[in-house]
Amino acid sequence: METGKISASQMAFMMYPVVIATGIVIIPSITANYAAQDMWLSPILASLMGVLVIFIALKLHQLYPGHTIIEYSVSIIGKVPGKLLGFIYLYFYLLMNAGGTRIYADFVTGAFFKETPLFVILSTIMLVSSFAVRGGIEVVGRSAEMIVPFYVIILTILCFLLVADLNPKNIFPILSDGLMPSIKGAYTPQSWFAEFFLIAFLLPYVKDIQKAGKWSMISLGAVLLGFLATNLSLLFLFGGELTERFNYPLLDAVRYISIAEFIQHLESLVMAIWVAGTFVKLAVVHFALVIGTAQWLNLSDYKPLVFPLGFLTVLVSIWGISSEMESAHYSGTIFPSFSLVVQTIIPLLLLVIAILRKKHH
Amino acid sequence: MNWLSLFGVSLVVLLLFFYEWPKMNQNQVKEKRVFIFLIAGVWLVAVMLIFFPDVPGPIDLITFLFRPVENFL
Amino acid sequence: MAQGYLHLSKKLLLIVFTWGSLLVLSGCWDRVEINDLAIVLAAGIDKTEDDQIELTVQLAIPNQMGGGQQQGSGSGGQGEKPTLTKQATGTTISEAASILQQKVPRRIFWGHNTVIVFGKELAEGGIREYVEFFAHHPEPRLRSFVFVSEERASALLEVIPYLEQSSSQFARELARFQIGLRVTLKDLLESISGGARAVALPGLEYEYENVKEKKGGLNINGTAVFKEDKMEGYLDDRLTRGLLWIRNEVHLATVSFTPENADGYMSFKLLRSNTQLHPEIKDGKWKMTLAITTEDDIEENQTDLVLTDPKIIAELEEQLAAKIDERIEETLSTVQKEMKADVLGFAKSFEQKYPDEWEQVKDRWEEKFAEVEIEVVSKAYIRRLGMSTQPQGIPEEEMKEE
Repeated sequence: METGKISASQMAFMMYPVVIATGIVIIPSITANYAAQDMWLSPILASLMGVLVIFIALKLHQLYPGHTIIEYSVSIIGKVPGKLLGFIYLYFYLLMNAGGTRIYADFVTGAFFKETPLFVILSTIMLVSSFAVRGGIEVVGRSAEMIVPFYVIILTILCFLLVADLNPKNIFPILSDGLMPSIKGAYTPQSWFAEFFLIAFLLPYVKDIQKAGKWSMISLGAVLLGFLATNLSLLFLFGGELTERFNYPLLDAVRYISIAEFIQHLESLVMAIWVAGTFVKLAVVHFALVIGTAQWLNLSDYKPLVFPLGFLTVLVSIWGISSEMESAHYSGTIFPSFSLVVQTIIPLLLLVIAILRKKHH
Repeated sequence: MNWLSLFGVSLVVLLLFFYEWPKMNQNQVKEKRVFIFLIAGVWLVAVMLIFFPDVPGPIDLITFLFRPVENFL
Repeated sequence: MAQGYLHLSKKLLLIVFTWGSLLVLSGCWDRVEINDLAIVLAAGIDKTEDDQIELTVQLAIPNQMGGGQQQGSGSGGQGEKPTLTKQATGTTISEAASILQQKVPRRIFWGHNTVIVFGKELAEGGIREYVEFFAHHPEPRLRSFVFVSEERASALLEVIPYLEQSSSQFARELARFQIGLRVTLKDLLESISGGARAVALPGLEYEYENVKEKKGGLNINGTAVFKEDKMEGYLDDRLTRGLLWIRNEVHLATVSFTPENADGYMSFKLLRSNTQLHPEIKDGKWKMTLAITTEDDIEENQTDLVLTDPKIIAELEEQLAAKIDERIEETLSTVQKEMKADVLGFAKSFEQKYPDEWEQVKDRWEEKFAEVEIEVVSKAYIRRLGMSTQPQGIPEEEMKEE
């Protein structure tokens, strides 16, 4: 089916935008809502979830090398339940990508292109990502390798340009209401970190599989740093109270940058990394969806599925969601629970069953 | 306006079909079936959304299932 | 070889195509040309008699903006003025803006708005409702400077200033100097929703040099003090200086006084200053220590003191510190005892160090604030003498050395 191969480092580059691209624009506001000035702690707590799912995905792949979760779930729990579970995964990744596309489009239309119809924004980005997926996993991997370094550099520069306006004292009082607010604040980001489970679809195509664990952790660390840097910058600039009130605090922060009244109006940079990052994210998730569907149906080729499923993703992202608020509510409160079940609890159970069965034999 | 959208969607689906069909291995019956099924399904959904934009969708199903968890939190 | 050529030309074609597509991909429905925009430089908000708001915007006239330099180089005001003010009334700012749009043939664009002025009358009735718009609308920036105008904001924006191209730029440059307070929209939003329940905004006024042509200048004058979001009182320039010291925002300052045992004044120019707030709660008593360290140069010496003597400098340092203390005390007594408005950042400071105690008093912070015991500990350093070691223009024998 897919004959292309990627390297472990390419996988790391691919996973970085999957988590961070949509995360950095909507997570800060959500964490600030629960954790206020402790909002920087939430990503740290949430990243533990990332460590857990990476461990699970690697272990499962060790037991069933060269197979994705769609294939080994049948081996682990039998044909019918396995296929059913496979369907749940496909459903989940379809919705996850639809949600991601919608967050992207809501941001673009809300902040910049107010009069452009939503479906135009949705379908253009999905079209580009679909072309990348149709080119195969190597194309996705290389575009990630090309784009992500710029993404990281621009994000870092933006954070540094804010330094003059930051007030580190905003971090106090630390843990004034105990750990509970930051744990609550970690509930939404944990689902973003759990998206690292997507490597379960990529591992079969990794050349240097022995390095996969190391590179996954590097990617996770980079994501954590990215979240920490943005959350801390926002906290130091606005304080927890104000961050929570903004829809896209990162955008507001970048617009606040003004160095000598010369380096200012930098929001186009946010837009640039936003589009580039989302492109990679959608391509990676879409690849997982398409390859998973092909395996689920025992097809010999996944390429004909790319465009129809891309179209379907766009439709799902507007299907029944009439407003930005509805979409934000779904992503902020419903999706985390859905993700907890599908990306953490079920894989954990699968792993336990798989280990028990292997011992039996 | 609706009819225009219908025309647009149908055009996109047709383009998709004619882009993908010649590239497919004509011996693979199952692949062709799945492709036709998917593309027809997508067209139906799109048409439905043009005329009834407020029909609940897959995300609403998940929202319905997980709402109790949200209330618990 | 031939193949290599083909490859190269293919590559070139690809590059031309990619870059070429940039030209046509620059926007869809939201494509806007710069000459279709009416760029707002400043916005003024006043109250009308029937309780509506009057929105005044200062719009840039791009052609004239470029020509500003010629105008400045002494062609004697032949050019047209580079800005234009327009007004509209409505119940909300967006309503007023859309009514305004009917009178302006270009799309009103808020992205370059750098100054927001509230008229005093409106400020007294509360500004919260009107600040909201600027944080809600996607175009305006949080870095806009906010002022309160003693007179109507509309009149202030109509001033055609000297030196700068527009009154908006004039106000912005003044704010950058930080002679008075400098409050951006972000700061305002932070303090208006913060625990202190008080806000300070710089006052802005204008003075005509030529009433008929509306030529004149602006100046930052004093501070408007708000409780919740309603303007309560006004601090004059002198008290504002003290406020700046307390808030650690003082950048340009000259302190003049007559030293002990001497006639005439000496002036000290501030190099840098640092104020730290040290909150303390002991046995239920709330206390705030202001630790102020300033570094100064001597800028003017009218006295007969010889400045090379370290003993004299040490005495002067002490007196300078006492002088700064005095100014701060004056501000404190007005702000803390009379107005009971915490525009000093005490609330945040206590909250950060004593979150639990803060939780108990936050609903009656106004009273608690008035009770806080304040101690000012200031230390001044005189770093340099300037270009004269001894007073100029005095005969040698009259000089005083200790």
